[in-house]
Amino acid sequence: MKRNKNMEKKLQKLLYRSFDEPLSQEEQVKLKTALKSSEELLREKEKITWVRNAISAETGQKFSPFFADRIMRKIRMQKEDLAGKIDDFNISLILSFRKIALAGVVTVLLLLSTNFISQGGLSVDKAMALQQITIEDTWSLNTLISEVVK
Amino acid sequence: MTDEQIIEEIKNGNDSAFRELILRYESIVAATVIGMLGNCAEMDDVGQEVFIRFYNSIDNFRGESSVGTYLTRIAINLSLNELKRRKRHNLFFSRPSEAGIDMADNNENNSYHEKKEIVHAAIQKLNAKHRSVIVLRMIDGYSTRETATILKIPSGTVLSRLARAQIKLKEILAPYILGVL
Repeated sequence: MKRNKNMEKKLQKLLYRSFDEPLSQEEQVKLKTALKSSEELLREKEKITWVRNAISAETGQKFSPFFADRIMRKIRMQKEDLAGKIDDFNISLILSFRKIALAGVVTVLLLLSTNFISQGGLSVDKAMALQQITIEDTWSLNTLISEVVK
Repeated sequence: MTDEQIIEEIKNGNDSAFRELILRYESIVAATVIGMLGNCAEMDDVGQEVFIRFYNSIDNFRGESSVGTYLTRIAINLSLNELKRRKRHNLFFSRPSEAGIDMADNNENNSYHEKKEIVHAAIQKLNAKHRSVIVLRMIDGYSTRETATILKIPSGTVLSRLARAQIKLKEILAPYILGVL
């Protein structure tokens, strides 16, 4: 009884597979013989064929009209949006750079004017706070020591 | 123009070539998306998203698979995402049957519904895994191996899912089958 059930299951599996894969010669003969002898298996084949035919007829589906146009519009909008985002980034970059540049100019002017007021002129030496020294002075040990001591 | 030429044109910035590609593959994508989701409000959005994703990743398309297979893969993935979203949504907001057709009612009122609608509703009763193999193999007409490649599962799994799905469909459609056979 159990053996028969197992055999039935195997044949049913073979039947289902026959719709989707080519069977070997041996399997084909086995299925053909089984279909001839089993009314139940033959009925099963008819049912599956009906189901498959009905589903295969589900082709020819379409989206709503102007489907392609709607996609093309979306793509255009996507491109414009991207271009807009790039423009926004460039504008914000220029604006923030402008602020930084302005702050830098103001700082330099402030430093120069402070220097001018405290040193009484705008020579490079004064601006850089350098003293007029000779090479001999630079290498003189005494000068160096006295500077350190100071 | 061949698909390869169209792809080359799109890569060169020719948008009208992309329009041509949409017209060429609309029915394939529609069969997959509508097969997976049914006739619903979201089907158009998912269909559009399939083509937009393809457009945005056109530079990554190397032609290893055909355009149709590539689009079908995107369509299946987006449809599965949509089904997951629906499932999450249904956890919080109870919603009437997705299929919209009560099969028990149909039993008494066969003539009212078209055979196509009944079959369509039956497909919607399958779970996502079974539905995807049925749509790819039986509606889109891909081979078992192609279906396995698209779904990234072994061919054996495709065959067993197909068998289980057909048994389920046979059960759902039993009243109609018996009426015909």
